[in-house]
Amino acid sequence: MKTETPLLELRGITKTFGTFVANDRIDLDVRAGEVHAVLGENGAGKSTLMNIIYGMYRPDAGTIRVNGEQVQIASPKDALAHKIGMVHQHFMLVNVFSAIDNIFLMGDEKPWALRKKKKIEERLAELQERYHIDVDIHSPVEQLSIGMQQKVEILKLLYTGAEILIFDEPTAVLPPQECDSLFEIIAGLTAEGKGVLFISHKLDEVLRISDRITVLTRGKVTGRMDAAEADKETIVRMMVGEDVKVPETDRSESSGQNPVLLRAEQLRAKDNRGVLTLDGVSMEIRAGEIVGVAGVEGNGQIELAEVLSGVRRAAGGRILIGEKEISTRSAEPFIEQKIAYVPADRNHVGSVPDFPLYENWILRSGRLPKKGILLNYPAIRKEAAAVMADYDVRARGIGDRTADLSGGNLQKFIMARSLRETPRVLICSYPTRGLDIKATCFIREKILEARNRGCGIVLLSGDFEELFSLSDRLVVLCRGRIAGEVRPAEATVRQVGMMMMGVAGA
Amino acid sequence: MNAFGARIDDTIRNFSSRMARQSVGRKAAIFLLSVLGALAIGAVFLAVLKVNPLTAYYYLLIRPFGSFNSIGEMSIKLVPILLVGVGVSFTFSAKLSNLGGEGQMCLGAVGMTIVGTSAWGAALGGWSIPLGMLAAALFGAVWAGIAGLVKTCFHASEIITTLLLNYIAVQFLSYCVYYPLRDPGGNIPQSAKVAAVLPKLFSGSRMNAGFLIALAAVVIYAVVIRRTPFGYRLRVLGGSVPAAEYGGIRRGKYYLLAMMLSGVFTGIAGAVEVAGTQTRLLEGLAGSYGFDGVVAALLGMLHPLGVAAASVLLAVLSAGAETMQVKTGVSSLFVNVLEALIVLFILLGMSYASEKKKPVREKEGAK
Repeated sequence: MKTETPLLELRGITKTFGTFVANDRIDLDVRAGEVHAVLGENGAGKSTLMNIIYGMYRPDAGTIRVNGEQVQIASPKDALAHKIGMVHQHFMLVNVFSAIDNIFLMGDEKPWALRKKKKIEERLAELQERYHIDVDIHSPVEQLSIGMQQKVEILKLLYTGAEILIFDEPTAVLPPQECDSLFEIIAGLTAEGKGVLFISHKLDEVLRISDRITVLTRGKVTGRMDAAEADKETIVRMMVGEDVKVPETDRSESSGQNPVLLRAEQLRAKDNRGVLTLDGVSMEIRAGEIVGVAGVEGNGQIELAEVLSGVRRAAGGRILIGEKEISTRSAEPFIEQKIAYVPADRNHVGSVPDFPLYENWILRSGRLPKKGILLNYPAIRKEAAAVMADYDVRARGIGDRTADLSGGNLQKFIMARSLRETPRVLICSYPTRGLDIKATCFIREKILEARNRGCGIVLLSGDFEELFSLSDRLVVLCRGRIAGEVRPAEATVRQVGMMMMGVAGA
Repeated sequence: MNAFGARIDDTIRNFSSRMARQSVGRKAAIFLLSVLGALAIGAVFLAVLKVNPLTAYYYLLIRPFGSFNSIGEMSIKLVPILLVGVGVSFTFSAKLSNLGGEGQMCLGAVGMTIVGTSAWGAALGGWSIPLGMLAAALFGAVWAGIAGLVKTCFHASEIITTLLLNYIAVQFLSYCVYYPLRDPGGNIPQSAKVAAVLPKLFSGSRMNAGFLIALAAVVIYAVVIRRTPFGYRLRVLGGSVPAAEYGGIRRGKYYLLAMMLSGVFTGIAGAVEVAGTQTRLLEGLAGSYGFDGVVAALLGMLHPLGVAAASVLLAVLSAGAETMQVKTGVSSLFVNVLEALIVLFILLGMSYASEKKKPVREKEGAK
C-alpha cells in the first residue's frame, strides 16, 4: 500500500514574498485513501502552500507531481483539471441558487444543455448515497446552515471528479456540533480512495481524523509522523521547537507593586459566529508591565483583546479602568480613557484602506486637532508627516492610500498612532505577524519603550520568541479560560505549549 | 458636444488642482470619459434613426445654455436635483443608501405649504419662507429618520425602507392636496398659493433664489463631509465598518444622523419646489427628482463638485430633451438611454480603476 505512487507529491516548494519566506523547501505528499493533516499556527505558511497547490500562487522553486507526473498548476481551473479540489473557508457558492444550480454553473456543461439538470440530479443522488452526504440539493444555498453549505461544496468537488480534496481549516467556520458530521464525511471520502489534505491548527481534531501529520512552523516542515504514533506532547514540541532562543531583554521586576490600570473580571464574549469563545477570564494589567497572552488561535484571545479595547461587546463580566467600570457597548469610553489598540487586521480594522494616510492618522483618536468646529487638517498633516519620518514609515507621502502601504510600514504607522496620545494601556494583537525582521524588531522596541514609560501592555502573539522575550507575565488561554500563568524567566516554552493545548500535568 | 465636454473638464480641473488629491483627477477622468462614451454610443442609435447626432446633441446639450431664459428653465430642474443629490451624498458617504428622496421631498413640500398657507404664515409675509424651510427640513429629517431608526434598531435594509416610505409620502401628499391643504377657493386638487415666493434672481428668467440655496448646500456638504469630525466619522463608516468600531464610532448613531441630515436637504428641495417653482402644493410635485438626485450623487462620485457637475448634466438632459424631440423627432425618452449608458460607464470605470490600484500583496504569506 505505502509504496504506491502518491496522488499528490510536492518537492522543495519555496515561496517568498519580498524578504519574507512563507514556504521554505516543503516536501509533502498525499496518498489515496488517507487524510494527511498539515498542522501549524497562523502564519506558519499553510495557506500559502494550499494556494500554491490550488494554482493561486506560483512557487519560486520546487515541483508538483500528480499521480507521478510533473504538472504546472497556474490557476484553480488547472488544479481542477488535475482533480485537485479545495473546500475554501469562504464558500464559492451562489447564494440564491440551489446546490444543483451551483453545480450546473460549475463548468463542464454547455450553457444550452439545460436538459442535463436531470442527469446532474441523478449523479448527485448517487454521490450522496456513496459518500453519505445528507444535504438538501433543491433549496437555495442561503437557506442552508453553514455546515450544509460546506457539504454542498464537497459535493460540488466530487461531482467534478476531484480525487484530492483540500480542506482549508474547515472547522473554523463550523459550530462545534457540526464538526462531527464533517469528519464522518471525510472518513467516507478516504474509504472510497480519495486523498484528503486537511489544514488545521487544532490539535485535537487533527489527531482524531488524520493518518499522517506534517507540522509547519514559520514556513518550514518541522515534523512528520504517523498519527497513530503521535501524541500531543511530541506535536507540541514540533510546533514550538525545542530550543527557542530567547533574547535577553530587561524586565521590569518591580511591576508587581505598580498600580492596576485595567482590570477584567469574569469576562465572557462571543465570536462572530455567536459561539462563546471567551468564557470567564479575569486579569489585571499594571503600569509598566507587559502581559503576554498565549493561546492557539480560536481559544478566545482575539475576543479578549477586542473586549479589552472596547471593540467587541462583552457577553458577561466587567471591565474597570482605574476604579471606574466601563461599558463595552462602544469603543468611545475606552478611547477617552486612553486604551490604545493595535489590531491584528491592520488593513480593515486598524485603518480605512481607501483613506490617505493623514486621514487615518486621526482614527481612534481621543483628541482631534481642531480649529473651531473644523478639523485642523494642516496640523494633522504636519503631525502625520513628522511621525512618519520619525518612525521611518516608507510611503511616497502622507497623501498615499493606506491600502498601498506594505504591511511593515502600515504597522509602524498604526503603532505610531497608538502611542501618539501616550496611552495608559496598549493592547497589541499579533503586532509582528507577517512582518520582516527589521520591522519586527522596530515594533518590539517600541513596545518595550512604551512599557518603560509606564504604559501597561497586553501582548497577543503566536510567536513564542516574542512572548517570552517581551512579556513580564504570560497568561495562557485554552478554550476561553485561563489555563495558567507563568513568568517567562521561570518557565519553558514546552510548558506553555502544553498548557495551550490543554494537556494536563504540564 | 466638445464644448460641453470642455466645460465640465475645465470646471473640474480648475478645482481639482486646488484639491491636489490624485484621486480627484481620476474621478474627473472617469466622469468625463463616461459621458463621452455614452454620447458616442447614443450617436449610433441616433444614426440608426437617421438623425444627425450632432444636430440632436446640439438641441439636447447646447441649446439649454442658449438663452437667458433657457438657462433659467434649466436651473429650475437643477435646484431640486442638486439638493437631493447633496442630501443623499451624506448617506452614501457612510455607505448608506437613501432612495427616499422623493418621499422626503413630498414631506418637505407639505411642511412648506403648511407654513405658507396658514394664517400666521400670511401674517409673517416674507419671513414665512425661512420658517417654511425650517418646517420642511424638520419634516424631511423625521421622514428619513424613520428609515434610519429602523436601520439602527432592527437592522432593516434602508434601501427597502426608504423606497417604501416614498409610496406612503406620495399618498400623504395627495391626501393633503385633496383634503386638509386644498385651496378652499378652487376646485382642482391643489393648495392655495403660499404667502411668499422665493425672489427671482433676474428678470426675464425663472431662475430663483432656490439656486443660491442649492449652491449653499454644495458648500455646506463640502465643508461638513471633508472638514468636520462628523463628516470624518461618516466617511470612516463608509470606508470600513470594523475600522469605525475600532475608532469608537457608534454605527447606529451615525447611521441615524446621516439619514436625518440627508432628509434636511431633500426636505428643503421639496420646499424650494413649492416656494420657488410651483408656488403651491401639487400632486406629483417631486417628480423623478428623488432618483435623479441619487444618480447625481453616484455620477458625481460623492465629490461636491462632481455632484454639482452631474446635477447640471442631468438638468441639461432633462431641459433639452423636449427641444430635441420637437426639433429632430427623437423621443425625449432617448435621454433615459443616455443616462443609463453614463451610469454603466461610470461603474465600468470605477471597477477598472479599483482593480488597477490594488497592488500585488507583497507580504503576509500566510494570512
